[in-house]
Amino acid sequence: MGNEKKVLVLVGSPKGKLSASNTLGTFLTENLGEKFIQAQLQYLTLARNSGESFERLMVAMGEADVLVLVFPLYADQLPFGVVETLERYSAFREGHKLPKDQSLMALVNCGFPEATQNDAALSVVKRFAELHHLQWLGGLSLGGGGIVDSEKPLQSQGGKVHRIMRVLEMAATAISKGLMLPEEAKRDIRRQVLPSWLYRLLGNWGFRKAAKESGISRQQVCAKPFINQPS
Amino acid sequence: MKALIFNGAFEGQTNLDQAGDLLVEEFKRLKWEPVLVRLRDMNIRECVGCFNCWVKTPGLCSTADDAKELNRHLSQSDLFALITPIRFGGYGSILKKAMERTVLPNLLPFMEFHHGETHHPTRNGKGIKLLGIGGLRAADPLSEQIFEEILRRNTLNLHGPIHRSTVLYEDLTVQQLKARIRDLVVRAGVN
Repeated sequence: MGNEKKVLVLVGSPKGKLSASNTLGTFLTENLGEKFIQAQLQYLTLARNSGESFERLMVAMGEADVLVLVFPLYADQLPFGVVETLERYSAFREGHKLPKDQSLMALVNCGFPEATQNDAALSVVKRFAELHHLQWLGGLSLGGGGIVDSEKPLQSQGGKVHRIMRVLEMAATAISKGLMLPEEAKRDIRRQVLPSWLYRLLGNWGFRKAAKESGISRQQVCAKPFINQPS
Repeated sequence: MKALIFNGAFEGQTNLDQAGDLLVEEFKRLKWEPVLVRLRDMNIRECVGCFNCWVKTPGLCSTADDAKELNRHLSQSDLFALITPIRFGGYGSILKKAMERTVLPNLLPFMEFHHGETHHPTRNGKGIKLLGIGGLRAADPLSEQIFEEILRRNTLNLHGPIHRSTVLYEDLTVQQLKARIRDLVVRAGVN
């Protein structure tokens, strides 16, 4: 029943273990394990801590058959740590004769309800694959990432994430069979759980609540600390 | 009028460094006040995604380093120019790190409907023009298209009225570089 394929799931959130990306990546890794695939999860924030661990990450990436990048959208793109990792891996690939074909898949989540906001970031990962001759298995774009609880496993978060779980199961199946992501998975993950207006309403309430808990009033949240300072 | 220029070039990317200097000259000629920041010389740590700049110390990042000064410049500028090597269509890591640390504190946490999508309002209540200067070894239309799209998205998020970009290849002469920069500034309506 064993499968020799090695999958490396890279969690690219700077929050590491305390991130929605980790919740999603962990579910995918476990699901791959259930399909007898050797899947390992690594946190880029830890792996980039020192020159030595960064080098170990490069070796691990080079040895994987499939790389899966899971990250949040930061300022319309990949977070800095993911960009730095890809830059470094690009140089590593040029400097080492990597003997086998590799595939790449990505899952991006953003705090805005519209999944379209992730598309440019997915284009960057796809372009990386094209320029380095990796097989692009496809990208998953999740909007409204705020619905994913970073402190609980995905399987214990109820009906709101059932669709996400189903898509990740489809992704694991595709990886295990060496297939591209099915169109159904790419389409389904983009569907909004909440209408945008309701997501914004709840999101704004959440930020007000978080500020209040820190003793920050509604007026203070809108502070302009540099407005009267000389330029 | 003030222009903030982030130079995200790596050591040895001389055409991008030259582009920064030429942009400064051009802004000065037009009586603007340019601020050129060579990011690789700055002490900037990466954003940890804590959102303290939204809910604990509004407008200010909790990490004490050179990014605080960049935040001040951005909040007071009318134009934001980004110089970077194009990496797989996106920004290079030096620029990306600085962007994350400066853009977030200059936005409010609240979400609103803007140009058909959800975005955050700017903290100072005004938008900013964006210029993008990308560096490539040679022409790569797909990467250039992605770069342009990312700049467009950044402009939406910063509520900018317009964005303009140019891509510089390594074999450009100084005269060609100069012409590209001047053309970019004209297309951005800077006068």
